Amino acid sequence: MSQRAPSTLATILIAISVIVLWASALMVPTPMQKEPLRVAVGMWPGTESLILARDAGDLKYGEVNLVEMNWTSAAMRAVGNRVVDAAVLSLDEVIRQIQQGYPLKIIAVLDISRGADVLVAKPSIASAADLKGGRIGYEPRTSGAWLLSKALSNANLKLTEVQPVPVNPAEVEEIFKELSLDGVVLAEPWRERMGELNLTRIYDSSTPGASIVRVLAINPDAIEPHEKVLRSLLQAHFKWIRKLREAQEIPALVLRREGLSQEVFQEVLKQIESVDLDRNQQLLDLRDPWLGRLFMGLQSGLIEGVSTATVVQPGEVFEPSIVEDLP
Amino acid sequence: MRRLVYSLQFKISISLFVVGVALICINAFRLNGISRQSRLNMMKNLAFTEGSRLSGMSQHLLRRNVSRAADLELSYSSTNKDLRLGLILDGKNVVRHATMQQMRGLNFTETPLAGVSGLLEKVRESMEGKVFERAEGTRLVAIFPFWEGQSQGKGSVVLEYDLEAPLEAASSVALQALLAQSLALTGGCLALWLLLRYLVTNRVETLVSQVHSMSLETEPMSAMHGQDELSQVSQAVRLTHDRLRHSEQRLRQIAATMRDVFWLAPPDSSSQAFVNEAYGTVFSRPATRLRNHRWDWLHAIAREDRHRCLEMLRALRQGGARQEIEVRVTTPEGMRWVRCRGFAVQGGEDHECAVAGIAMDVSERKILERRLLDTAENERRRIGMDLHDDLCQRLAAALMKTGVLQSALARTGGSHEPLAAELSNDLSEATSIARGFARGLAPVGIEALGITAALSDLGDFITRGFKIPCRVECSASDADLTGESATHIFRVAQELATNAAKHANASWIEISFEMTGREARLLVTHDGIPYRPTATSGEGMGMHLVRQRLDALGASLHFHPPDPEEPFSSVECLIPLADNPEPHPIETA
Repeated sequence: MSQRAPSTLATILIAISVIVLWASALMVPTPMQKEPLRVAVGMWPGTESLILARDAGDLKYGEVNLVEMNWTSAAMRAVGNRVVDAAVLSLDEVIRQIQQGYPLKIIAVLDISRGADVLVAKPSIASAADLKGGRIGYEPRTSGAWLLSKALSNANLKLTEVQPVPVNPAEVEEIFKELSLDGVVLAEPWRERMGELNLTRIYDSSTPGASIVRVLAINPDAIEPHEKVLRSLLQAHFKWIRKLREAQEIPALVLRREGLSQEVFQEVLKQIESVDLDRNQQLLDLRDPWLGRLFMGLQSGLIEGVSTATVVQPGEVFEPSIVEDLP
Repeated sequence: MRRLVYSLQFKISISLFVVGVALICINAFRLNGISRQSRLNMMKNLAFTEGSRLSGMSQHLLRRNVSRAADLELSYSSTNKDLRLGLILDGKNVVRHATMQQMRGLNFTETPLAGVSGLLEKVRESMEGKVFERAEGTRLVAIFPFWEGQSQGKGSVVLEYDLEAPLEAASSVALQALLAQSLALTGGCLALWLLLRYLVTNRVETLVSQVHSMSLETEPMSAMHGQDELSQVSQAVRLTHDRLRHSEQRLRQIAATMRDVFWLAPPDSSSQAFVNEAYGTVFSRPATRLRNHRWDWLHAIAREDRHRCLEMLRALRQGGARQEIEVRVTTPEGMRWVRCRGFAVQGGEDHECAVAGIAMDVSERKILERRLLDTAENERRRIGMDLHDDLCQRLAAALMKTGVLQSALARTGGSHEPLAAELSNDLSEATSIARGFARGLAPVGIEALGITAALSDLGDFITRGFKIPCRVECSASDADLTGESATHIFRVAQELATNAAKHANASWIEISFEMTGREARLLVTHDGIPYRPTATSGEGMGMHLVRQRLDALGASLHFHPPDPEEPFSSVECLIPLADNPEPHPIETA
């Protein structure tokens, strides 16, 4: 009997080992090629920091793939459909995505546009009120649409009182005249590129209450697998945006990308307020309630008749863990 | 642990594991190659498809001056994680669009893809898009030309893909498959281990126990149920056990009814020897003592015969031929003669044989033989005496009368005097012959003068009768020998010396007889052809009688062929003196 007990115990142990080994064999994960963090960045001076970081090697190939998309709506579609993991979007664009059923998270506030987003019009038009009945180009469902609505409401006009013409800012430079537009909503550097048209600035994001906050929005399930890379990305951003702002001479590759001269680019940068790491931490963990209030305000302004049940709280969208971990 | 390693369970399991590992390694090696090749082909197809699509798209978009759409197309292309750089060049090699827009406006030679300028020119010449592997296994470059704008310039789409990561991923597939298969194999081998343990090892152990318990005293173990091979073996073992028990029982019944002792000594000393009930009768010792004292029977054997018994056993243990000896057994009732017939029972290789045999009480036969010898000796002596006392006397009288007749004829001058002389000679020779026969049949002096004189007379007879010098050396004391023993010894010497004279073609013969305190030694030596003893049954009457006399004396006979040291053949007869067996007085007829 004394010999039987260890024998039985050994049998049980071996049987358990068999089950564990076979289960492990079944659960051996199918190896996948390591996926880089794909970030859609548009043509926006505030994100040239990422381009510089990549060029300097701070963002390693294979870890971060910057997908350069000039069309904001294309970037929104890409991040919504998981073609990319993250995208640089404005706060209102993030809200639109969330309301569309794409649960994005905001992990960093990159900058605040203080005049770099603008409604411009033909020289003959002096104010927003003069746009009544005019053809106005804008990119639907983007910050341009929001800025247009703010500009029109500021002039006591409704969107129905103008002729909205969906355009992409990137193509406006080529087709403004062709489309017989009276005005168009643009962001930098596109507005500066159309300097020769001598368009009039009607309304811009420097107007109180019209600030446009650009953030790094990401699909929630991409945070955990790319947590380390995200930290590197944001560290690189904070590093290179500071260098860019402090640079006496803007790197040529930035100017080539933006299609602007050094002086113009530096002027444009002045219209963009950078948000540093400390401010990011305060805004995202809501110690500074400004962004939370803006987020709530944008929700009610963007979607009319929205019920309280569908209102998303800032805490559900803001993800401060990444910036909080940054040194 | 050692037992485990040598077990069938371990050998099968480890064999399967080793074979499995080999197969998995081969498979992993092949899978790695296939997987990498497959991934490479896939990448080439992707590069080809994307390059073709972008070149067609670029031709279309740029002709319509919708260049921003080309940017968007490149943007979507750049979502491919393996695309490192995508460029759309115009006919002057200026970058019009790029996945990295900072390269826009640069000359192609200023871009990281400047190294493929030569390939670009070749593709432009042929206007056939191609996919190249650049720095084998590291980069893939797709170059696809298109007609640019209204000027029919030769624009190009150049895409560079990374190959290292995809091929590493492909290798990972093989590695993971190897891991999964190894885990499954290890699990399978452990499962097989368990199965073998229950299906084979445990059952074989039961079978071994069953075989080990195959004792004639124990009831057979129940056989394993089932129809498989092991069950069949177990059932066969059970059946065999039953048969053996029945056979053994029959054998024991036969042995129990035998008057002779039947014995069987197993090769290993730990096993008990078997004897039947007759052992107690013949050896006058309880068979039960053999259980604890395996050699108890040897104490019953006369001391002088023990050596022969042990020699026979030793020879049989080594697988020697069947042997037969007659030994004396001391019992409270007196001395018994026992004929032991032994034979070897072959065991396995490298093992000693078991020894079995039959011991028969031949005391009565021995007594009868001695009586027969004595009777024959008496009759021989009587005939000899008759020859001497009657025939020889008559012949002597006739010889005397013939002498008288010859003298008378000589005086008278008769012509028959020569005939009378011849008759006288014939009668003299006949008298000598008759006296010789009489001396041979009734040796003069054995009883009166002793063995020494008899042997000396024998030597004279051989010398005279066969014309062969026969020397006799005798240092024996007649006082230590009985009359019968002396007669037997003389007869043995007579037979051996006569055989040498008749058949050995010897030129001389020597008879030596000496005595020590406990033993007498008779040695007959000659320089003739050595005697070659044959089987007892093949010997002549003379040697048969010699052996009977030796048995009567309890003596042994040894034949010594010539050797380099002693170039003469001899026959040695050793006669024990102290216990010269005379179990029963022999009655003379």
